[in-house]
Amino acid sequence: MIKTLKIETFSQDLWNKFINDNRYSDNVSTLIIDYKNCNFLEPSNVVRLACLIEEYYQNHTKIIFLEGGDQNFPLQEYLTNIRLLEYWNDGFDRTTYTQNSKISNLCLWKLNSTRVSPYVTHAQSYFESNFQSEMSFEPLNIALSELFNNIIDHSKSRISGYTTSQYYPKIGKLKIAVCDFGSGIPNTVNNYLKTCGEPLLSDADALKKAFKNSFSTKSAPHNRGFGLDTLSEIVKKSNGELRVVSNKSMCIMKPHETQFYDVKHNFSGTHFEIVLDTNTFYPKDEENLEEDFSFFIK
Amino acid sequence: MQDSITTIRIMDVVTGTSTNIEGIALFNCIDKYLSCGQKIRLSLEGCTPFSTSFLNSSFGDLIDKHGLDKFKSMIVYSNIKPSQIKKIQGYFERISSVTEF
Repeated sequence: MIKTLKIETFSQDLWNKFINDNRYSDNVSTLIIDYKNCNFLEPSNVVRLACLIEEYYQNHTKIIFLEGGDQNFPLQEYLTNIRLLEYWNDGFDRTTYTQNSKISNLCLWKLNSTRVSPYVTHAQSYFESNFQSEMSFEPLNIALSELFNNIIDHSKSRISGYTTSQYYPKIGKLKIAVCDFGSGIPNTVNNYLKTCGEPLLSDADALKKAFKNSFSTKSAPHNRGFGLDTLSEIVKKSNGELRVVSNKSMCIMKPHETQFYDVKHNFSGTHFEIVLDTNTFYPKDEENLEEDFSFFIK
Repeated sequence: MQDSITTIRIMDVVTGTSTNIEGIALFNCIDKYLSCGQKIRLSLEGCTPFSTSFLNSSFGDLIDKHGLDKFKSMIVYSNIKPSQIKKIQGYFERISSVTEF
């Protein structure tokens, strides 16, 4: 069977519905992604779409992109630059990251648990060297690490996850998008509460609980519940914004307020979008202390 | 043996500081010295930023095993930047707030 995905310039909420309605079903031999009627894709939409395509690909579906021609050239150029159009071609190496010809975005990358450190180090140095050599993009490095470890430790996502980042040099904003098709944060929290004999929560309350410092579902033995709290700190310190969609919940974090909602459309997985203001980053030319340092106070 | 100090450069032990696996490698390296009362100079030369997963499975598990006071008293840090001191100090405070020693 041939299935065609018609991509349009959907609203964020409709994207969740679109992804949910088009998850892999049996007997799809060819998936055609038709983006002729789409003229813009946010990084957050790209990673959701990439997860969807990956799900078909892992079920041996042939992937074909139907290009739009001149009328949506900017999108065509963007998708080419981030390598989305060749990611599922025979011989394309999805295990490593690929270099990019355009400096304002990082190529699409399929999370590989054995290459997290090389990737986050690359991401940091990539933007530092291309744009603001005097500023440290360490917050990007840590935010990506926390997001990837969240997928590796908790999500049980069969397709792993996808990420891409986009820098907007004129306003100094950096947008990071990460998505997985795992069990979702509220489901993971409620499964844990169930094993503890505690009452289950609405998806929005479960998502809120996951962000609480020191709450851990102990999906991995070393977890202490600091990861999402660290991510929140990075976002707040950098005057940034965070949007998470997971199961039937959403969190929107802005500089002075954080809100958790129950939403209409289920998203079977977790999708993060983070915007950091790089104007708040620290200079990177920090000197080492000349002498040994001890935290021990007698 | 207790009067001498052994220098360990983190980036000689691990290739990055992002994941649990890398944290476990550092744990194993430091633990054998702390277990026999050997002081350590931990060099952060060339160190990449620490994720919480890395800190949990290295410093966090060492603190669980040896206690925060012993961990602090047995390790000095070289080639460390003020922001790294702040990060590690913040981690100690976090772990103290949720753990009874």
